[in-house]
This record gives sequence, structure tokens and C-alpha cells, in this order.
Amino acid sequence: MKVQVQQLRKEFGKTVAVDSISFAFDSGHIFGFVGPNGAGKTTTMRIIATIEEPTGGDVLLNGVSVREEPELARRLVGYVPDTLPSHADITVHEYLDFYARAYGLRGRKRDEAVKAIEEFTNVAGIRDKHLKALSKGMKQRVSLGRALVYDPDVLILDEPAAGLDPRARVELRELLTLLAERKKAILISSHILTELTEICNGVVIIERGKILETGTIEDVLKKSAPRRTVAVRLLDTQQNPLLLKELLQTPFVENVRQTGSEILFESAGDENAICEILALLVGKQFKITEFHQTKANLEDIFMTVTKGGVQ
Amino acid sequence: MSSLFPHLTMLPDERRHWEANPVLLKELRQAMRNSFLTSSLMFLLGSLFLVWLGILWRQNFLIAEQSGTGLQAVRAFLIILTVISLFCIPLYTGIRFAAERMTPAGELMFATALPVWRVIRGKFLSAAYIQILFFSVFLPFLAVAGLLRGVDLPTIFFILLCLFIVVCVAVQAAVALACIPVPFVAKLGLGILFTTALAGGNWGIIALSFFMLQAGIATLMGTAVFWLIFVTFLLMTTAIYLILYGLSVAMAFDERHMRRHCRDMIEKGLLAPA
Repeated sequence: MKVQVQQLRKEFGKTVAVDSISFAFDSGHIFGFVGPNGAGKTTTMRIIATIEEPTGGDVLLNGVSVREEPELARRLVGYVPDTLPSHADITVHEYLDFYARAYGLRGRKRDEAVKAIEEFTNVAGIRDKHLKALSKGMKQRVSLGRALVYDPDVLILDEPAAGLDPRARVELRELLTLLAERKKAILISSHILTELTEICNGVVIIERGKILETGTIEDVLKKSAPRRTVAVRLLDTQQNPLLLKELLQTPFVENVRQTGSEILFESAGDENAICEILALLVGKQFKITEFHQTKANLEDIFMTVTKGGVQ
Repeated sequence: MSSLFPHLTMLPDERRHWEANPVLLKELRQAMRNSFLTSSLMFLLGSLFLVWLGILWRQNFLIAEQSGTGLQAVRAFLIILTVISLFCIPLYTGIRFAAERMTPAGELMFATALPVWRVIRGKFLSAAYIQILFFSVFLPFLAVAGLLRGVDLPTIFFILLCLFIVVCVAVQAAVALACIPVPFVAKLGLGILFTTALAGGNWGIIALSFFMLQAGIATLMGTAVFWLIFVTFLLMTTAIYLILYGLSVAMAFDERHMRRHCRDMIEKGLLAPA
């Protein structure tokens, strides 16, 4: 399953919510969709889920256009919105059963599918509870179950971790990893970027309806933070001024500074250059207790590339 | 035609795998837990019971003077049943559907593989079932009233049939109003107009019921004018129902569905070779 977002555009009156964006992701991949509030994430996701119609461009799900063939596309997409179901008069089992019926599952096949989903999302114990009586975490599970009950190839999750407790978040991460292993193509938006870094293969950073960065996590990190930051800690901190002086004279080393008891420097060189710097410092008799690269994460890149603007 | 009434073109093998409309099942499950509906049902039951007690209380037990007791009871029952079913069921269906369409969780119902016409029909059918439930509450009282003098059962069943048809059309009108893509305030205004129309319709139906109870269906059936009026009524209600149904389906579709629907109609209907 290949999901291709092609020159997608959505206007609400004079506001351009999504401005001709393009990206793609495949089966087995979890793609993070990040951006400040009002960046156009939810609109894009709703278009992929066929709830909104795009003003321009298209989304192809294995060649099926959400614009031209929404009924067919719907069978391929499972959408978990940021607002959770809260009907007062329907139980968890009835809710999942309704969606299984709505997607054409019949008889024993439907019963088995609903049962399997209840077990997979761990809601079997609360199947007879009313939706309104559920906690946010449980509602989130039911919402995910609703999206999975007809076994779609693409999953679109809008802020699924918002408001969840740490245990529920860990479980959600495990669930998503499991789904990716089952060859689902997953697009997930979240403001908890450290979590996205752990589970996502790729990322799209969007602001004011425009894509700022897209690609695999490694590519984006490399592209947005080309310099490596290295932290050095000495056994004898009295030697720190000497180390600072030494580093300032070393080739490929820039922006040397002391932070607490650590000396930080940036290097434009590759891994070999870092090894050579370490060898040089050891050769100069510095007693090094720690020498490690501090990798840039998605949060750093997000803060660097976005400006926090909304439309 | 086949998209509106698929069961008519269904093959025998397909019928074997037929399953009830998912929306109908969901609506009935939810209706049984809905406090407005259960309260209405209890109110209907309580009102019928109290009216029945009132009539018996005022009753003169001299047999010679009992001739109109049954008719009096049935008239009172019909007023209650007409008012409650013509108000509660369309308003319940319409308000619930409109509210559902406005919530993000509700709008997901329109983004399933379920065609919109099945959603609309499921809503309508659930209201029809609920109406039958309301009528079933009325029947035991009618049975007891039937033991008294002055009750013409064929006339009452004919009135119930007409009431059922009118409530069905009112329900479809409520569904159509819920589908109109206008802001909440405009929809509220339309709802108030609709409720006023229902109130007017109530008095019309009650007056007509009383006339029929007075005249008796057997006498009326002997005249050509009755059949002319009855057939016109059936044709008109069917036509209004179909128009409202079509409008509901059309309005519930979003633009791209409408475009595709129109394109398909032109390609497959008008441009198809004879």
C-alpha cells in the first residue's frame, strides 16, 4: 500500500489551510506528522480519511483517489480523530459492531472480527460499558478499535496520545509498532515529539499549511542538524581551560563552550573526524571520563524549522 | 432505481445473506436507552390510563345511558396518540439526526462504506418501528374500549393506518430538515417552523378522525368521493415521501458525491444507448 499526497490544497474561504503539500509513505512505515497548532495537520488527515474534500490536488491510496472514489478509498483507510466517541446510549461492543456492519462484515466473520479487535485493543473487559462512562485512554482504544475493525491498510491517527497517562502511551506505542509490523501504513500526528522519534520511520513537518521538512527521521535529522555536537568530561575539571584552548586550535572544531563541568564543541566533520579528535585529546594526556555525541532530536529540529505561526 | 431500492433487484442467493440495516439496529439499540423516548412512552401509557380512569369515574352505570362511552374513550385516546406520535417521533428523529451530523463522532457515520441512502433509510425505518411500539401501547386500551358500545373497530384501524402514514411522512420531513446544510441557528428556525406545522397537522388529523368516527368507515366506503380522496391521499403522501427521501439523500451527500452521482446519472442514464 502506497499513500501519495499530491499537491494537496484546502481552502476555507480566504484561509488556505493546506497549501499544495506533497509527501508519500508506504506499508510497514509509521510516518510522523508534526506542526504547531493550526498548521493544517487535521485538515490533511481528514482529507486522507475522505471526510473533507480537497480544493486542489489529490491523495492516492494505491492509486485510488480520495477525491474521485471516496467510497472505495474509505475501505482502505481507518481514521482515529482527535475527538473521541462519547455517545451516552451505546456500549463499546455495539459501537464496534455497528462499524463492522457498516463496512460490510457479516455473520460469524463480523463477530470474530469484533471479538479479535476487542482483545487486540484490550477493551474486551469493558465491552458492555457505555462510551460516555469510559476514561480518555479507554475511549482512545475504542476509537482505534473502530478504525481497525474492518482491517484497513492505512491508519490515520490524529493526536492519539493526547491526554493519555504514561502507561497508556507506552501501550499505544507498542500497539502502533505491532500494526506497522502487520504492514499497515500509518500516519500519526502528535505534539510529543520524543515519542514520535522512537516509533516513526519518517516525518513531515508542516507549518501554515506548507511542508518545511519531509523524509526519513535520519535524513531530516542529518539535513536539519549537519553539525555534530560532542560533550567531553574530564576527570580533573581544573584542566578544562587547557582543554578549551586545545579544542579551539583543533581543525573541524567550532563553537567550543563550557556547560557545567562539561566541554561542548561542534564538528562539521564525519565520524572519522570525531575519532581523530578523541585520539588527539588522549594523545595530549587529557584524562577523559566521558566523550559522547549529543544527537539532535525531532524536538530540536522542530524548534529550529518552525516559527510557531498559525493561519 | 436499483440504488434506491436494491432489495427489489436482489437475487435469491443475495437475499439469503441479507442483514438488517446497521443504522436501523444502532438506532433501535440507542432508542431503547433514550430518556426522551422512554419518557414519552411512559407519558403516553400514563395519559391513556388516567383518561380511562376519568371516563370510568364519570360514567353513568345505567345500561340505557352507556351508548357513547366507548366512542368517548376512543376519541380521547386518539387525541393523545395523535399528539404524542406526531410530535415525539419526528422531533426525536430529526433533532437526534441533526445533532449527530454536527458532532465529529457522528460525522464519521457518513464516512463509512455505508451508502448515504442506507443511513437515511435506517433512520426512517427506526422511527417507523418506534411508531409501531407507540401504537402497541394504545391497543390494549382500544381492546377494552371495544367491549363498550359505540366503538367501530374498522374505522379506528383505518384512522390508525392514516395516522401511521402521516407520521411516516413527518419523520421523513424531519430527516430531510436535519440534512439541510445550514448553520445551527437556521436549522433551529426551520425546526420551530416544522414543529408549528406539526401542531397544525395534529388538529387537522384529529378533526378528520372525529368525522370518520362519527360517519363510520363502512358508510364512507360506499361513496366514490371517499375512494377518490383516499387514493389521492395515498398518492400524495407517497410522492411527498419520495421527494423528501430523495432530498435527504442528496443533501446528505457532500459535493463530490453529488458531482459523481449526477455524472453517473448522465453517463449511465441519459447517454446510455437505447
